[in-house]
Parts: sequence; structure tokens; C-alpha cells
Amino acid sequence: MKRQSFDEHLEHLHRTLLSMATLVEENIIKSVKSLVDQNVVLAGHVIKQDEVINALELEIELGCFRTIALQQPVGSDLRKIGTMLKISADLERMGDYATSIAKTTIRLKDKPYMKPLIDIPQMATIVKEMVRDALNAYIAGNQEDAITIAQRDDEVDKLYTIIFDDLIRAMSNSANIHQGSHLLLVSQYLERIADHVTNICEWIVYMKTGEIKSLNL
Amino acid sequence: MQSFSFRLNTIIISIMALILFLVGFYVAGLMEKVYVDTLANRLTREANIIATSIDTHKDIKAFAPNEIQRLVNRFSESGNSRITIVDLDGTVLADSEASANRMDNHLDRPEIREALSNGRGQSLRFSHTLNTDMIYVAHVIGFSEGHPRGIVRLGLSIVNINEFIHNLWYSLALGMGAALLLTVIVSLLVSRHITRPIVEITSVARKITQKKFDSRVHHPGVGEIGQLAYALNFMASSLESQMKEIKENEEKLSGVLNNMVSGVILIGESRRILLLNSAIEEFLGHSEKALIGKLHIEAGLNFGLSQLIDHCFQTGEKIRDEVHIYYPQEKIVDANLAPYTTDHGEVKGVVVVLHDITAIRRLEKMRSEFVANVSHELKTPITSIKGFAETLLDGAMEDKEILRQFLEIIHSESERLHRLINDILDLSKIEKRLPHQLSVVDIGELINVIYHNLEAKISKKHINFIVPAIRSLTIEGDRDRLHQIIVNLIDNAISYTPEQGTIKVDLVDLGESIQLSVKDNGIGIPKAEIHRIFERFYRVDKGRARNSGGTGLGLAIVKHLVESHHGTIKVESEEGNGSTFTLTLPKAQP
Repeated sequence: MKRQSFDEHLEHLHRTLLSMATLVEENIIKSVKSLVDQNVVLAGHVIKQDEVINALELEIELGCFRTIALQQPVGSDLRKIGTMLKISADLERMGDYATSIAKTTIRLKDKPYMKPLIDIPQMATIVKEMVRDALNAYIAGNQEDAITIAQRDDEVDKLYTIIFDDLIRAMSNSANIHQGSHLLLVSQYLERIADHVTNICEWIVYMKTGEIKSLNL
Repeated sequence: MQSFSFRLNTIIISIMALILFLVGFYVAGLMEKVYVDTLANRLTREANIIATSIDTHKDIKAFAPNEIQRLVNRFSESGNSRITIVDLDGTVLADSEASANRMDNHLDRPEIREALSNGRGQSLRFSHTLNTDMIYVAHVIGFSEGHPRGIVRLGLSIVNINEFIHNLWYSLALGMGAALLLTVIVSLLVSRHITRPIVEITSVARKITQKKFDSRVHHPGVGEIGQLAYALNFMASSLESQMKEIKENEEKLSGVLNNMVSGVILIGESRRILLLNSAIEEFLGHSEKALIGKLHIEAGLNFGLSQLIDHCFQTGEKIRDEVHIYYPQEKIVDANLAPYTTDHGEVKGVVVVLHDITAIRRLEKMRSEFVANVSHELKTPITSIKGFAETLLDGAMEDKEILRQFLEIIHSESERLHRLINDILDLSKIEKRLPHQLSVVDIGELINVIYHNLEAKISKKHINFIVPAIRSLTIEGDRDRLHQIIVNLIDNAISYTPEQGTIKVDLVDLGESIQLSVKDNGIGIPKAEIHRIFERFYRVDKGRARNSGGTGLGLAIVKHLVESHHGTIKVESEEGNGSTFTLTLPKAQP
């Protein structure tokens, strides 16, 4: 009887975490889309959805603590709950970065870009694939996948360096400094999101093996 | 567990064996008793006769020993029993088989003692004198008159009796053994007859659980077991037909589901996917098999859709909404959710139907953009006509020079308006796909005609125009439409080529089709925008094109016309180095 209720708790937490994760994923995609299309309405939507993400994180944290307190899980069950706690914290930070990107859209809405954005959407594509794959690895509990996903962080870092150099070069023209510095921040946000995905992958490995392994090499 | 037939056999055989054993014992005991009794009776009778005959002769004391011995010998000759005469003290007076004076006193013999008190006695024992089992019967002479004078004792060896009883036992045992054997055979046959249908029924029932619904009991047996077998056969055939029906229904359902363009998902109470069709793969990017049994949030990884599903579970109401799917491709989806409920109104599951409305939304967007573009294009000449006319009315018309200049502008703007409206009407006509008026057209000659029509414009810009080497090449098509295609392409080339540029028109015979290319060395088209040049109102260089008098619809019209002639058009261009439009048209129209 008690066991069944514990499994129900765990499944409910799992569902909530996945809801939060998909919302974060969508917000990342939408924020980059809003930036590329200079779509302020979409950006506003992202900023509003971040409140839902924060509420979901709170719900997951409280749920995890309640489950730990009432059911006193041990072993792999405890690891599962711990992993959920950590992943929800990472997701919340990722959501915040999406919000920051959306805010950048609003700040840059008045002027067309100095040139069409190409590298940033490309970076965003890799990042959102990493997010999606990490979610699937979490669902499947597949630590091998988690390790390969974390390795893609290198691609993101490379693109970040390229974008950084490009923007610095563009900013030698003082007219581009305002736009350039904001876009620089956006690429940094995306890079940070990828780092959080790496963290999530580490927690997936922990959940399955009980070992804490650094994947951010 | 032992089999039913084994238990049945064991029970029948052991009961039979017990009965036969008891009956045998009883019968053997009875026979032995009856035999011994008969023997004893005979001996008693004989003893009585001997006693009476001795008594009637004379008093026993009066006999001489020899005389009595003779008498005894005489009696014993007529029977096969041993005769002994004893006086009341137990002294043996005569014996038929032993010497009387050598025998012991017989007073302690049980039959004699019994006879002394009762008149007669009987005993069955081992005789040491004769070394054999004997039956003895003693009778007192003169006991009935109250003056006992002596005792007559008859003895008979029961070796014969024992033999007889042994024979009896043997024959009884033999008969019982035969009866038992018969019982075993009958019981085996009966039990097999009973259990065979049961065994068959069991195996059929097992086969049915293994979904072999075509198995039947072929030897149903009789009675209750037969009825059971018939009931099982009936059940099997009804199951078979029901399964067939279910299978057919399933096939129908999966046929309908899998041929649907819309995606269908059925989600059960546990929020896990129970059923989906193959179309869903395009929406969610996973194969059908990978998704079944997953939580809907795991499968879709779409917040909006999952929220709708959860909402539908909570409220039990039908929901229709638009959902954006971002993965694997960005899609706009029209989601219809309906709960299916039990009789008590409990939500047991949710059916989700997804329609891909991305294309519809894009078309809607294009249409509204088109309307906006048309209005914008129309607005520009009208604004200038209105402005110049108002200026003239405000007094400028008094100045002849200005009046003329303004009227010329108004004229050219209305010309442009006219062209624009004609192009829009053309385009809508072409888009309606009105049938072509097909005839044999000489493309070479057509190019020549067009060149002469445009000669003024070409020489004005000092353009070096190179006509194709092939002067005559005929294809099937609508002459007016082909004229429009070529005019639009060459006119475009003239517009986008700077003064003293070169335009080269080339014609190639490809056998089944022809290839016409128009190459200029004008401003070219940026790579990123090359795919957009056939869009209506699209202009590479917004300012210049409007000055050159284009409507922005020319290439859109060309593309439609080429496609309606079953041809293709492609563009190669490099920014600043000019563009080449190449069209391929079939020689014969289907």
C-alpha cells in the first residue's frame, strides 16, 4: 500500500518535471525565434511563460522534499528524487536564459540587424537538440546517450568562439556596439544553456550509476 | 497428482479384492464347519448304534476281553473309524487299531470327560497313539437309563478333511483370482471409456487458452461428460467466431487509422499512450512502436499539447486548440481532444486528433501579405495622382508649363496603375488555370518579333542584344502566353542591365524539348534571396525596380505560365555579375 503511493508520488514528480522541461525547451526555441524574426509578441509570451516555469520548479522542489520526508526512500529511489531536484534547478536556470534572450529581442526591436543572424540560430539549433536529446536520455535512463550528448557541448563552445570573434570585429564600427554587445550576451546565454544540459547529463549518469562524473571536459 | 483413471482403477480393484477375500474366508470357514459337523454327527450316530448294540447284547462287564475285542473288530470293518471301548474308570477294554492293554487310562481325555457328564462328548486333537489329527466322539453306554456302564469312543483321522479343506482353499483362491483379473480388465476398460473424453476435453481446453480456437473434442463420450464436451465445442466455435469478428474489427480500425492523414492518439487513464496511428510519426518524430505505453508528456515532449490532455482529463470536456510543435519540424497543429467516459461520467481516456495546418496558416499569411502588397502597390500611384491633381486644382494649373509637366506625371502614373491592374488580372486568370489555345508556335520568329517591339528601349540604353543562332524552332503552345513569357524575361533583363550592357538570348533544341535562356550582365540577385524572386511583389532592389516601371508581378506570371506549359524555369545568378534565366519547354503538350 505504502509502496504504491510512493510510486505514484514519483510518477507525478516525473510528469511535472517533464512538463517543466518541455516548457523550458519551447521557451528556448521561441526566444531564439523571436530574436531572429524580431517578433516582440513572441518574446513577451516567453517572458510570461517563465513564471509558469518558476512555479513548476517550486512544485517539484516541494514535492521532492515531501516525498523524502514522508517516504524516506533509499538507494536508487533516493537518487531519482535527488536527480529530479538537481535537474529542475538546472532547467529553471535555462528558462531564465531564455527569458534573457527574449528581453534582448525587445531591446533590439527598433533597428534591423547589421546583418542577418546565421551563427546564433545555428548555435540555438544545436542547443535545442541537446536539450531534446537530454530529455529523451532522462526518460529512457540511458547514461551512454547522456555522455555523448554532453560531448556536443564542444560544438557549442566552438560556435561561441566564432560568434564572439565576429561580433568583436563588427563592433569596431561604433554604430554596431549596442547591437553587438547584446548579441554577444545572447550567444553567452546559449553557451550557458548548453552547460546546464551537460549538468543534466551528469545527473542522469548519477541517477543510473550512483557515481558523480564530470562530463564538462 | 495421480490420474483419475489410476485412482478409479485402484478403488474398484481394491474394493473387489477385499470383497472376494472376505467372501472366500467366510465360505471356506463355513464349509469347514459344515464338514466337521457332518462328520461328527455321523460318528455320534455310529457310536450310538455301537453303544446300543453292545448294551442290548449284554452288560459290558460280562464280556470277556477277547469277545469285546472281536466285537470291536467287527464293527470297525464296516466303517473306517477307530473304535475304542472304555469302562467307567477309564481303562481301555478294547480298541480297533491298538492293543487295549498297552493303552493308558483314558479318563483324562476331553471327549470322555465330557461324555461322562453329558452322555456324549466330542474333541478334535492330535493322537499320540496314531500320530495324526483326529476327531473323537464318545458316547456313554446306558446313560439314558441312568446306569452308565461304559464308554464307546469313535475316532477318525481328519487328514482327509484337511486335504479337502486345502483343496477348497485352492479352488476358492483360483476362482477369486480369476474374478479379480476380470475385475481389473473391466475396470481398466470402463475407466478408459470414462477418462478418454475427459483427457480430450482437457487438451482442447488447453489449446483454446493457447488461442487455437479451431480445436474441437472429436470423441465427446456420453452422459454428463458428453454434454460437457458438446458445451466446450460450442464454446470453442463461438469463441472462434467472436475472435474472427474482433480481428476483423481490429483490421478495419487499423485500416482506417493508418490511412488517415491526421494523427490520432488514445491516452489511457494512467496518462499512458494506448493506441496511435502511423500518421502521428510525422508530428512527434518517433515511430509508432516506440511511443506505445509511454507517458504522453514523454512521447510528445510538448508542453501545450500535454497541458491540453491533462485539462481534458480533469474537466472531461471536448477541447479544440491550436498547438505549436517545435520538434522535429516546426508545425502548427489543430488539436481536437475528446474524452471517452464510462456510464458514470468518469473519464477513462482521451482521444487526440491532430491536423497539420502549417500549410493552411502559411497560405493565409501569404494571402494577407498579398492583399497588403497589392494595396501598397496601388496606393503609391494613386497617392501621386491625387497629390498632383490637388496641386493643380489649388492653382498650379494656371501655369501652362507646370500643368503639362504634372499631367504627364499623372498620365504615367495612371499608365502604371493600368499595367499593375492588368498584371493582377492576368495573374488571377492564370491562377484559375484557364485552358490554353494551343497552336504550333515558331519560337525563333517570336523572339524576332519581340526584339523588334523592344528595339527602341534596347537602343535607348545602348544594350548589345545578341539574338539566338537558331532562327526557327517550333513548339506546341499558346502563342499569346509564350509571347508574354519571353517579353517579361527580356523586359526584365533590359530593366536590370545598366547602359551598354549585354543581353544574350539563346535557343537550344533538346529533341523532345527546347531550352531558352536569357542572360544579362546586370545587377544580379543576392544568393539568400534567389528563392524569393518568383514571389509576387518581390523586388531585389526596391527603389530601382519601381523607377523602372515594373509591377513586381512579372516573374510570378512567368513562373505560372511556364508551369502551365509543363515546363521548368531556373535561375543562376551572382550578385553584381548578372543573371541567367533558363526555361525548358516540351515540344508537345499532353
